[in-house]
Amino acid sequence: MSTTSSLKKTDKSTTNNALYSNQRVTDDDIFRNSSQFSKWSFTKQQLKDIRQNLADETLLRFQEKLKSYLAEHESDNFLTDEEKEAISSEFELGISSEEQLQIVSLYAQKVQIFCTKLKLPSEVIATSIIFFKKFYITNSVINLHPKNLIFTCIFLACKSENHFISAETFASKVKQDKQSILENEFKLLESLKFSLMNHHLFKPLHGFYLDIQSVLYGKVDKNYLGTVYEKSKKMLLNSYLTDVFYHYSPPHITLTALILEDEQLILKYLELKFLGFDPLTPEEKLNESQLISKKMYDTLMKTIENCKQDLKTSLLPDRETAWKIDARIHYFLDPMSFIKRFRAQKESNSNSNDASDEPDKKKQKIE
Amino acid sequence: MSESVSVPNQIDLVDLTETKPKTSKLYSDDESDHESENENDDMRDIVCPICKTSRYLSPDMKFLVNPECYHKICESCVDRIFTLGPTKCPYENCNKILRKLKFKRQIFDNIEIEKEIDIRNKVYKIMNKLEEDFETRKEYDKFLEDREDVIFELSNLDSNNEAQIENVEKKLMKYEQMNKRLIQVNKMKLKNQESKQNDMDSVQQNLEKERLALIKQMEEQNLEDNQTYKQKIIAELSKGTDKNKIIANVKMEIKLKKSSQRRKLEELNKVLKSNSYSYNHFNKFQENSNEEFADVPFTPFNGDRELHRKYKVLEDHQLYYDPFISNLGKVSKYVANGFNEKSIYDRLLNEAFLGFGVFIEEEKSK
Repeated sequence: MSTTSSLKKTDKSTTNNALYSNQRVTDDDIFRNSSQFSKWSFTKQQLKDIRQNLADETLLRFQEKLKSYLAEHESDNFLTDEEKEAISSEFELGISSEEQLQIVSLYAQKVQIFCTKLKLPSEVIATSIIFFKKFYITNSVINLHPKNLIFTCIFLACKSENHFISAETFASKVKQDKQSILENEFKLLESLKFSLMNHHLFKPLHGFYLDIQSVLYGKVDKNYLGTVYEKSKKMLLNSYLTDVFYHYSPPHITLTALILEDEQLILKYLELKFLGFDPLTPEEKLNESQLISKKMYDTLMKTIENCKQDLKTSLLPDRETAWKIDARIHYFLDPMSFIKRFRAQKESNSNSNDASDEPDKKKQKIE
Repeated sequence: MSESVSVPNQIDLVDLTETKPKTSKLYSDDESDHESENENDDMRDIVCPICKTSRYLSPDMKFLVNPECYHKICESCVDRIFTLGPTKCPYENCNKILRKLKFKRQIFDNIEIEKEIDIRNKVYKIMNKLEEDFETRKEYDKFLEDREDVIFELSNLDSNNEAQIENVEKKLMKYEQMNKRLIQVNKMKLKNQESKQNDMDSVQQNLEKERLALIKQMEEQNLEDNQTYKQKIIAELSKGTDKNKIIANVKMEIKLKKSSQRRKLEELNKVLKSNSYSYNHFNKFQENSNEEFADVPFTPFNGDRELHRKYKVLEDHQLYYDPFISNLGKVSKYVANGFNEKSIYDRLLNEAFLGFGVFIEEEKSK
């Protein structure tokens, strides 16, 4: 009964259609009305396009900067031709959309680490990461270095998740200047399109934990289910570092995490809950309502399968790449530093043919 | 004369409260006199705009208004001008024809309110359908709203806008003609109801009186008893038996007597409470309608929430194994704040299926 009615709704699911007067408002419609769906959910292609646009803009700014820098030193013969060529080829790279995503993910992980150190609740941690990542969907890392946004995100997330810490206390806890935390707050809010509400994954997880108990009553060991719950929760916390939050609704992500933990158990639960018959039964033998539920079950399975892939792919860069990207952000802000480094490298190259020490030092600095 | 008696009293009061030094007493007397005059000044300033008589000269003067134009006219002027039959309102530029019969005392200071109350009474007399004339609460509410609309339009439309007022009045007339019989029937019903209500009220009042009398009686008897028992104890003691036993006996006696009275009082209180005759006519509809209906929350969207959820919260929530939440349910400070395990489970399950049927990749690509 419940599955059929929900399916009818999904068929007409263009956002507002389902809300005409005589129709009942489903939970799905309520989700469709949330800012999470209307403003912050994208198909993969849409998200890719947005990021590509941003990368194009960033590249343009790199080129402009290069032009003006070269023009500055046109007359004084400060730069050799070799140096000019090197800086041009470095600036020509810009920050690609993948690179931006990688560096942002890296710093998002740092947000998570800081939050854990501050002993914040899971929902605050999740919100901080989401805020952080959303900001860099529309803002390039060269506008505001990710390290300068970490604490602003955490501070705002504390407020929006009703875990209030005053600015003074927060600043002293993280040993930062209060002003530096607050100055970016409005910029962040603006980039978030002033929508702060997030439907998190922890309540759905808890809900499924309960529902599995009632659907599989007496068939599942409660202590075992508890460990599945704990493990899935950890996985869900890490899922915020991937892009799944933009592409799937919270129940789907939660179910995927649960399935990754114990596929057999969860599949059994879903079958019992939504089908009530063996999913391998050939379609000819099913009656109409069974066909409908089967169709919906298959869509769900397909979505979960996709989500599984996305959950597994890590967006984090390796150290070498991370260092390269971070250095390029630095060069953009101060082209002179590139020249200095280039000269130093050349010098050490001529002294001894081993230049690999240098990047390592820098690497430690950024971490 | 009465004034001259009351004034000295007032002065005494002032003296007592203000405790001014005696030397200034004479002065303060004068002052208080002066003040009382000031208070009355406002009253005395009121002047009938027609005959210019002020209240100072004729303290019995009463003002009347006519619901045609609501202009204030003093009683004697009304007598003088309108006894000979309907005439124009004596106010300048007011060409309304007024009849003496329609003049009435103004009850509210604000003339707008007075006007609205009149209109309200008039409309109520015509649109007097009762709750029981409707099938559902919705229809009844609709009727009430329509009635308020008519009242609002009649009382708030610009009086110059005669066409519109006429329109509304026409509507009202039409309603009257359509429902002539029902109006009559309801009129009778209302009258009956009123007399019934009055009967009930008087019964209630009698009960209340009885209760108060009983309380008073109890108090008096208490006093009396205390004295008699004291005497009794003294008398018994003089006979010289065990004093503790005597006192205990007498105390027991008092207790027994008191408790019988108290029982009587409690009974009366119970009757008074249960006698509340506010009953809900629409109970019968609620019984008929779907039980689940009552639980559906209001949504700001068009339409109510879907009743068939994708989940069911177990009736016996003890069946859920969730140590965290069931432990919370044992902490009295949460329970006192309204913590309720079932609502928590409901919320969690609701979140689990919020957006369950939303496939973003599919929907956003449209």
